[in-house]
Amino acid sequence: MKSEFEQMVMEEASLKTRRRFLLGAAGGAGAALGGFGFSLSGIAAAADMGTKASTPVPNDYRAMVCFFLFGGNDAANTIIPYDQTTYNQYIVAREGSLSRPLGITRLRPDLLPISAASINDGRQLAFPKEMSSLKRLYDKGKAAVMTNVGVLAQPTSKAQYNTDGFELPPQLFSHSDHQRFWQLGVPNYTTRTGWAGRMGDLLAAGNNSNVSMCISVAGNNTWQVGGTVLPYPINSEYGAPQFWSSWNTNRMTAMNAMNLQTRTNLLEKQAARVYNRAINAQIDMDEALNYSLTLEGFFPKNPVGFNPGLNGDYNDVMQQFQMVARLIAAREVLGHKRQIFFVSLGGFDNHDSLAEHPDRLKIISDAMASFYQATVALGVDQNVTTFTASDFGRPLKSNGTGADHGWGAHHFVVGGSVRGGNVYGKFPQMIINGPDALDNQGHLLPSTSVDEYAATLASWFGVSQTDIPTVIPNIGRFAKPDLGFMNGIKPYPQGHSTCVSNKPCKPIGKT
Amino acid sequence: MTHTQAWRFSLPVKASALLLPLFLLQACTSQTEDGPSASKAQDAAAIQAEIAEKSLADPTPEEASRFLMQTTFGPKESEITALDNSSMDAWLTAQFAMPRQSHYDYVWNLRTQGVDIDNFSNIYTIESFWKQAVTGQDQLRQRTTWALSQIFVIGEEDNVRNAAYYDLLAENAFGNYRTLLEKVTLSPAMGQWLSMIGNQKEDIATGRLPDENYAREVMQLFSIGLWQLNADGSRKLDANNQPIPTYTQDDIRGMAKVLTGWSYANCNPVQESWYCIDSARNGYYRIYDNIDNPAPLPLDKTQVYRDVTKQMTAMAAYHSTSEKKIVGGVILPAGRTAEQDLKDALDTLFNHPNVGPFIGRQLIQRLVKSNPSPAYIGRVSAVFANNGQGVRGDLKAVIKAILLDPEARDIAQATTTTSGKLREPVLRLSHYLRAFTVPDGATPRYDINPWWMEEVFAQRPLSSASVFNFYSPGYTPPGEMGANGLVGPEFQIYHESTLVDSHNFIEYWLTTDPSLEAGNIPSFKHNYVAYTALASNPTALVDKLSLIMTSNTLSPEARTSMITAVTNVPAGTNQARDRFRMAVMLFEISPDYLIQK
Repeated sequence: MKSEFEQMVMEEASLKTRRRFLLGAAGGAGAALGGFGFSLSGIAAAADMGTKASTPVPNDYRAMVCFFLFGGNDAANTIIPYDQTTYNQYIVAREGSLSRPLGITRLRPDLLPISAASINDGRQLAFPKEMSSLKRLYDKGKAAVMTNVGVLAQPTSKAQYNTDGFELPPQLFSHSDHQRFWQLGVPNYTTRTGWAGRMGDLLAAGNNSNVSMCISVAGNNTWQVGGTVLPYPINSEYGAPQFWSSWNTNRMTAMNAMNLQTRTNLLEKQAARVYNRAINAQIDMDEALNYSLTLEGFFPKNPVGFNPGLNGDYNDVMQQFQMVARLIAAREVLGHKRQIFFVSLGGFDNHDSLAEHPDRLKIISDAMASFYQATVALGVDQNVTTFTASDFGRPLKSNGTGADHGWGAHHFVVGGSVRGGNVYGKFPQMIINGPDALDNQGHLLPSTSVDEYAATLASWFGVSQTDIPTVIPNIGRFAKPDLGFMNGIKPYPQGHSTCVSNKPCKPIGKT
Repeated sequence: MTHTQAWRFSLPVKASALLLPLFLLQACTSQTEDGPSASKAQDAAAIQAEIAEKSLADPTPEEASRFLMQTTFGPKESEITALDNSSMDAWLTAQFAMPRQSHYDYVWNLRTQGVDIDNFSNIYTIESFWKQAVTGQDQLRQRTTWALSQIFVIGEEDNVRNAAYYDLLAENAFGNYRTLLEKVTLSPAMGQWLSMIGNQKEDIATGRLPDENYAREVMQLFSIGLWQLNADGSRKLDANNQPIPTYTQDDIRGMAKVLTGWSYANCNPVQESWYCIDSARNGYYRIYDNIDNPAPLPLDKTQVYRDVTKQMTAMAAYHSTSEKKIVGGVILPAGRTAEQDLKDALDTLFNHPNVGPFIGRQLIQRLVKSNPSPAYIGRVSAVFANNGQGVRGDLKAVIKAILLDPEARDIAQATTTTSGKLREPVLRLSHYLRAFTVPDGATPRYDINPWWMEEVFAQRPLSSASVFNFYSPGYTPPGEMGANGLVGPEFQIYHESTLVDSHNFIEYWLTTDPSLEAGNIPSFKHNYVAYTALASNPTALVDKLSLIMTSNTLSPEARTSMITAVTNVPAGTNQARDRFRMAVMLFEISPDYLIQK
């Protein structure tokens, strides 16, 4: 490993010539230089962490994609009970009576029933028909359903919820707060980093790149903010953020010159360094996209017969996933062994307009299924996992045309390493004021925490078991840090690692 | 070129000749910490004398520009000229006396015009913030309040709470720190943000303990910080050369018990404990009238939102009466009222020797530079401890000490390798608006899209995502600054995407006529005729901009790059306008401008 001084000299050389610094193909770890989000002190941090943190430097490839549904997806309209008894309960809970006076529940013939080994009490669940593409993946074992998951401060029973002074997450039912808590991975206002950023900090040593491990095609977010690793928001069509004046050579010449000239003030030098990193990241991102496949055929837009009012959203989400797939295809050009992506769709705050909700579900289904197919074609389907997240679910009881803010919700996990074709967690009873619903409105009390959901994903992503509490600080309060929906989680024995910074990893248990 | 500054004194020559040696004496003193205390006292007196003299002196245009960069939301030409013909002391005196405008009144006014201020987050408060920052006369109070809002942080709540809280900071910005600390503590907006409102005493039967959230942050962030400090801001070390924490977890628990039993002034804990406790803790508050059917106006605006605008009051039944051990080994006896416990606890924090250096250093960072010398911090701490008339915590004196200190005023000290601060994105935009635009009409609205601001600046006023502000006072950008032990808080939000996006965002405002946007709400108009008049002489244009943008500290190479680029803007209908835009945007990306010195 080069000394910090040598690395600094090389970084200065790289900046002066503005060439992308070509890194040796071998010895993948630890030699990254001054790249975005992985800087010199990132090296120090990674080396330091090597003795304190046990997460091994990755030498395989994995990508994680968070598909955030802003507004609070109505989970009760997403996974529907199918067996007659539970189906009837669902209708009564939502509409008040079996005669369906509001007309907002699904008709049974419009449902696609699924089998789930975890449910053995005679109940059966179904996908709605507009999610047929995702249901096909479920049937093939590539998609799983995570039920009744939500933000919790600690395991919470209904009795405890009603106990004065029992610690609950702050600001229940508030959009901004619960969007944030999902992304922070802990429900408080005193955490600055998100759980993807914290994963990134632990795994940064595996990447050699000017481009951050954390890329967003849906804008800035908290999820990807780490101590060192930061989100790099890019445009889903053309990639890296560009100066509006980038076409103006006269202007760019001056801008570049001012940021390359010799300076003595250390803060000015840092400002110039950030500028040059931005330029380098742009160059690298542009090169990666030029080199990469367009994958246009995997992400068809403008579906025939679709709601014209949501056609733009359909195309936009397809475009986001397409850009993610292209960057996965270009991972070696980018120098990435780990990639974390943030994708989103809004419009889920269905206080009313629940009639439009199935169209949004179709977007989710088609986009996730198309993306999965692209990863198959790229040969990395087992290395990429996509999961949905949302502020909260919505209560069982409708307000007439929609439902208000809720809590527990169902989510999807998709990928070649998912133990799919099954339902995880405890599917709630569809009964207002029943054991799983809190009150007359039927707010669902989550039976699984975001902490456990995220910890399961983080473990698959390569965070060691002893480092999970660094990523998910409250995980010790909950029963199941591994919910079981992922294959390929390697529980590393404490203090033991077969991977060191410059030697290839030995797979656990293999010779 | 040229960092040469000639001090122009309007004093008799003999006095100014005296000043030079005193100044040199001060410069030597600041580099060494040794020396007998007698000569230290003499040096301190000499520094005080020098400060007094300089503040009465007639500043050069460069000095005026620099001073205004530290004390306003961005210098503009007319203000530089005015100060050039006056003195800093006169300017400060006038500023301290200037009346302030209420943000709460602004959002209330919008409400009377039918704007729905109850359902749109805090966007109208942010509008009021921009309007005052750009057009307000009381710039020093504006800047100080903005600095305080980054220490006593609350984030996005709603228009009413954010406006009332920001007014509270502004009202106390030039008062006493002890008063400010108490008012912040009893603000319902803060009570909501850090869950002190409705905090109940311990319950032995269930084992429930009081909420520790505010107890921790009032110490960690609002008063004494994590580590014991010397007056010069350095950490005290124990016998093993380790820093010494200021408080323990037990102290937090004790403080949490102190901070029990407070809720809305207008709630009745006997008849409606649910409102005083659970609802308050969930952020609900009563509005006097039914917001779905607003009562006819006018209404007494002090009544409508009184629960979230009036200071919290104590509910005896919910206050812990056990003995409370708090910071520094102080033990508050059992059986006392919430008010008594609060007073003693806040007095204890106020009198802790940490406060001067802890708060003082951060104020220096917000106004002047990221890495003040220990001597500078020490001088400011001394003024916090005693304003010269035996009063501790005099914020007006502290602000004045920060601004008039030689390390802030002397341009030679400001152009070392470690001086300066990265301009906050909000201050870059406010500077542009102040320097190159004028309000459009009598009631302009500064409707600057807050969501966009959050995205491209990572700094949306009054909306920090956490209690730790947009950036940490101790943030060290990785690399050379870290290797040299330098901090750069604002670098925490300045990276590959915000750099590009914020640059584009300012270019958007530069090239947009807002009166044509946003449904023709009157806003601002561009006004840079004095600059386009020089467009045929690119050197003159760049040099004129240099005074406003960098107080003439522009490096020769950057200056040349700019002049070349401006010259290369081709002839055409809009050449003058385009040359101006080219010059301004080049300043906006130059490290010379980005680092305020």
